[in-house]
This record gives sequence, C-alpha cells and structure tokens, in this order.
Amino acid sequence: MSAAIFFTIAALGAATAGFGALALGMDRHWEAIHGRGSMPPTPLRRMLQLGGSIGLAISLWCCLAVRDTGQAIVLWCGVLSVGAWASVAVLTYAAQHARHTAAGAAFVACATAALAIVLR
Amino acid sequence: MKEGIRQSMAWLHTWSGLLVGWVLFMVFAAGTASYFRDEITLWMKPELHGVAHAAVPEALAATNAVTTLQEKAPKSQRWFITLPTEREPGLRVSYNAKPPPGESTGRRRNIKTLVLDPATGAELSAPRETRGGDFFYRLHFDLHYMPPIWGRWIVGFCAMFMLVAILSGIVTHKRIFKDFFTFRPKKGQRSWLDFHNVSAVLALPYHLMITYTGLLTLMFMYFPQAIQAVYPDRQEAFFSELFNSPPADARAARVSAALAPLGPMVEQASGAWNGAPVGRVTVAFPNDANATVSITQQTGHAINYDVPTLVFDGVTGKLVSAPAGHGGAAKDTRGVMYGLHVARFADPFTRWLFFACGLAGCLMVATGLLLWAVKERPKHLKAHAGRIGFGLRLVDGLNIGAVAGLPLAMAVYFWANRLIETGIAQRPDAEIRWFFTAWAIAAIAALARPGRPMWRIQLVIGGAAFALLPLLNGATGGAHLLTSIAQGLWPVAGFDIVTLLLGAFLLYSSHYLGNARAPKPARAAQKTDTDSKPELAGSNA
Repeated sequence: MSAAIFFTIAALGAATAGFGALALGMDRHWEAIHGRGSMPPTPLRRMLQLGGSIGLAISLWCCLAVRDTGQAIVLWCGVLSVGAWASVAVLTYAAQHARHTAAGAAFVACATAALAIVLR
Repeated sequence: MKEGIRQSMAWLHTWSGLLVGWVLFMVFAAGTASYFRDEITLWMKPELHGVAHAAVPEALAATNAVTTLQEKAPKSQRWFITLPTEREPGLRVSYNAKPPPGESTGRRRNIKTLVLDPATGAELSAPRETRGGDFFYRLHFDLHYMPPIWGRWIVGFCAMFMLVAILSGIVTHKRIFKDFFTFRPKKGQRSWLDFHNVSAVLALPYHLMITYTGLLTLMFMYFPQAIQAVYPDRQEAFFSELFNSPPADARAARVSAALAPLGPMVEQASGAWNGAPVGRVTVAFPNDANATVSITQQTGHAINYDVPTLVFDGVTGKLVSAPAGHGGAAKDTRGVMYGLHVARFADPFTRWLFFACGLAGCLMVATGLLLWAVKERPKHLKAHAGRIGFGLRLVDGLNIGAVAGLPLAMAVYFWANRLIETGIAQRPDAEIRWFFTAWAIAAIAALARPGRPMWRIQLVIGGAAFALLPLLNGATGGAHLLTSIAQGLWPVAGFDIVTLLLGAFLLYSSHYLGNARAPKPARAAQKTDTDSKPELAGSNA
C-alpha cells in the first residue's frame, strides 16, 4: 500500500518536472527568466527536451506500477493534466524559480520512486 | 485554403460553443459534483455522520436486509439490496411500494428506500429525506421539471455540439504547442483566451473522453435503429440479454412460496468471482413461486461498467443462469466507455483527478462564454456609440446567471438541506425547489441588470454561502471539521474542505473584479488591448 502512495507521488513529481523541463526548452519561457531575446543554447535545449520526455515516460511507468494497464493510462492522463497545470502556475507567478521547482520535483520523483521500488 | 478552413472552424467553434454553453456549464458542474454523489448524499444526512461501521460479512448483511424487507414489504414486486461499500457504509434497501391511487405504476417515485445498519438490519435513525447528490447526477442528463426523455434529448443535443466545439477548437487553435504552458494574467482579452486554452488543452484527453462517452451512455436512446432492426418490438428482450437480467415480461405466479436464504447465494456468487465483493442483489417477486434473485458484482474493480450478474431461483436457491463468459467486443467496448464516464472504478486519488479535470471543464466553458462577450464589447462600443446592443446584453445576463448564479443555487440547495425542518411531506422536492428558486432569481436579476456589480454581488453571495457551509454543518447536527478529521470521517471532511475552497475562490473572484477599474468606454473603443484590467461585463451598466 505504501509503495503505491510513493509511486503516485513519484508519478506527479515526474510529470511536473518533465513538463517544467519541456517548458524551459521553449523560447518564450526561457525569455521570461533570462530576459528578452535570449535563447537556450541548442545542446541545452536538446537536453531539456530529452529530459522532459524522460520525465513524462517515468510518470507513465510509475502509473503502470500501481494499476493495470487500462487504469494506469487513465491515471496517467489525470497526472499529466495536474503536472502541466502546476508548471503553468510556476511559470506564470514564479518564473524566476521555475528551474528550482522543476529540479525539486525531479528530486522528489527520484526519491519517492526509489523508495517505492525498495518497498515493493 | 488552410486559412479558410481555420476561419470557418473559428466561426463554428464560437457559435457551437456559445449557443449551448449555458446548458453545458450546468451539465459540467452538476456532472463534476456527481463524482462525489455518495459523499454529498452522506453530508446531506447529518444523522448518519455519527454512525460508526465495522465491516460486516456480505452474506450476513444480505440476510439482515431480507429480514427487514420481509417485515416491511413482503408483497412487493421487487426488492433491491445494495450492500455496504467503503464509500457508502449503510446497507440500502429499496422496494416497489404500492403507488398512491391515481398514480401510474412503474414510476421512480413509487420506490421506497431505507438505510439499514448492516450489522443488525435495524433501520438507522431515519435520516432526513433528501435526494442528496443524486439530484445533481440526475440533473446533469435528465434536467428537471420536464419528462426525463426530453431532458436527455436536450442534453444529448448540447453534448453533440460540445464535441463539435472541442474538435473545431483544436483546429482553430493555431499554437497548441507554442502556447502549451502560457498564461498571461491581467492582459484583458488575451488573459481570458490563455486561460481558456490552458483549461482546455491541458485536460484535452479528459474533455474529449467525457463528452464522447457521455453521448455513448445514452446511445440506446439516441440510436435505437440497430436494436429495432434485430429485435423488432422486443427491445426489452435485448436489454435482458445484454445485462443478463430476468426477462422483463416475467410475471408473478401468485402462488406463495418461501424465499430461499440469501446468504449461501451471496457466498456462491462471490466465490464464482474469485472473491470479488457483491454489489447489488435484486429479488423479483419475493415469496412467490416465480421468485428470482439476481446478484451483481460490486462495481469499481475494473473500468468496464458491465459487471457480471448471476441469477438464482428464489425458491430453490439454485443457479439459473450464469452469464456467457464474454459478451463480445462491442459489449465490452460499451462497458468500458460507460465505465470511463461514470468513473465508478476510480480509487480516491483517481476520483480526485477526475474531479479536478471536471472543474477545469467548468472553467473552460465559463471562460469560453465570457470570451464571446469580451470580444464583442469593443465592436459594440464602436458601432453603437457606446450603447450595448440587445444581443450582447442578453449574453452578459445569461453568462452571469449561469456562471455565477449556478454555484449560488448549488450552495442554496445545501443550505436548504439543513434549514428546512425534517419530517415534512415532500421534503426532497422542497430542497430542489429552493435550488431552482435561487437560480431563477439570480438569472432574472442578471438579465435585468447585467453588469460588473451584478457579477460581484452574485459571486459574493455564492462564495459566502459556500464558505460558510462547514460552519452550518457543525451547527445543524453534522460532524464539523474538527471531529470529522479526528474520526477519519473523510467523506464529510472532504465535502467541507472543498466547499470552503470553492467559496474562497468565488469570493476572491469577486474581490478581483472590485479591484479592476472598469475600462473607460473611450479606451475600450480603441482596438488596442492594452488595458490591464479584466474586461468583464458591465463597464458602463
């Protein structure tokens, strides 16, 4: 039971971090932090996009760990929506902290996922 | 060409969304509330808040239910027994009561329902009569004050346009991925559009799913042609085969015979499903030679809503018909679609996600409605020298009546539940009358004076009414937040916390509108969108 709770937290964290990374790889949100006209260097942009995609994949994997396939996909869709809204809220009201929130969410996701795997 | 398609889709999106938007807002709001139907009903019966429940074996609960039903309604045509679940700890029994003279038979209102203590079968201190959360559930596809069939056609028509609006909205939205995370507050029309996009796109899988599956839940009504082709004038036979229920034309033998004990049948059914719990037991013609007992598995263990049913002979207690292992792909597909819509399978966390997405749907519809008025206003100011035309005024009024008036009416419904004295005749109808009275007053007031002050007044009243519900709960015999949290009575605590948050949100919205200076007509008449205030209705009402 407790493993399921940690997997669920990890799914939310990974979705939030993944969307946060994908957003930071976009010019508009990068500009909001680093000033008008700046752009993320191409290698960094690739890294953010790759990392963001991996984050979303990890959140799907966490959902699959707690539910059977059909219900996991339903759960994942909900988790993605909530993670995306969390990213929007941070980018809108605390853009300066967007990097730290994404990193924090990623850390929470990794820690709880590891804990869940141990407890399983 | 591409531009042409996008233009025409924008037109389609605007009008298909606007014309049915007010009904859709109600459908979304009432439907979202329906995810917590049981919890709302429990909150509305404060007499049950103090009842502690230990888990009771199902066979015992079923036996206790029969004992009570034998006393109450031995001659009834049908008994329905709903066994306790985690979300609904009471044992619910219903039976066909004799219709009052002059009433047609077979109406829903001739079904009497009791809530029993599963451990003893004793009637729980009869809680106040209320439709509870079921009112919202029915409202969102049956409407009210009209035959349910009409309501279902109207809601189906609106849902079809909702589907059109969603699909045309996707085509119209040029920068789905570019604007994916974008919300720019305090920029007038741009902010409304951003919010509309963020609430729509980020929960798009949900919105598409809920609209499409909503239409499917009533597909037998909307599209009866297929059934008629294969089962001419025997529609009942189709449903009886589909759901493995006793044939609808079954009749009582009018020969009395003792009903076999239910306990062994319940155990046998649960055993046949590898221990999955039993949800409902329906006894047709109890104490008659033709008695049948249908035992249905508890929903909530798979997405598919079609749960297996076993039918037993009510006199011998022998299994009569077990369902064929699989109903086929079509039946399974429909079951999964239906199950996705009603989300009975959802564990608490998934249920909350559904609820959140449902709220996003409400916000999507509300911002869509507001956008039309926000876009239209500058044109009117330009064309009519600052006078607001009839169409815009009407839309403004309907927007206030729907978006601010409906929450207000919902809160009034909850207040009526606690303030109308218990034990009066037709009490559930009285609660519902309060809901519609409040809504009608709000709508008439909104149409009479559509403007920013009206927005603020209705949001303040609705917000205060919602935010004070937890206090009302404690003051009128319910478990208030301190006790409900301490005792782990989460359904009640959850209701109070959600209404508190909703109330705070509505109050904040009103406060926000008060801060925003009304844009001056002259400024608004310019095409520029630099005004940093939200341009709601009523800059000059």
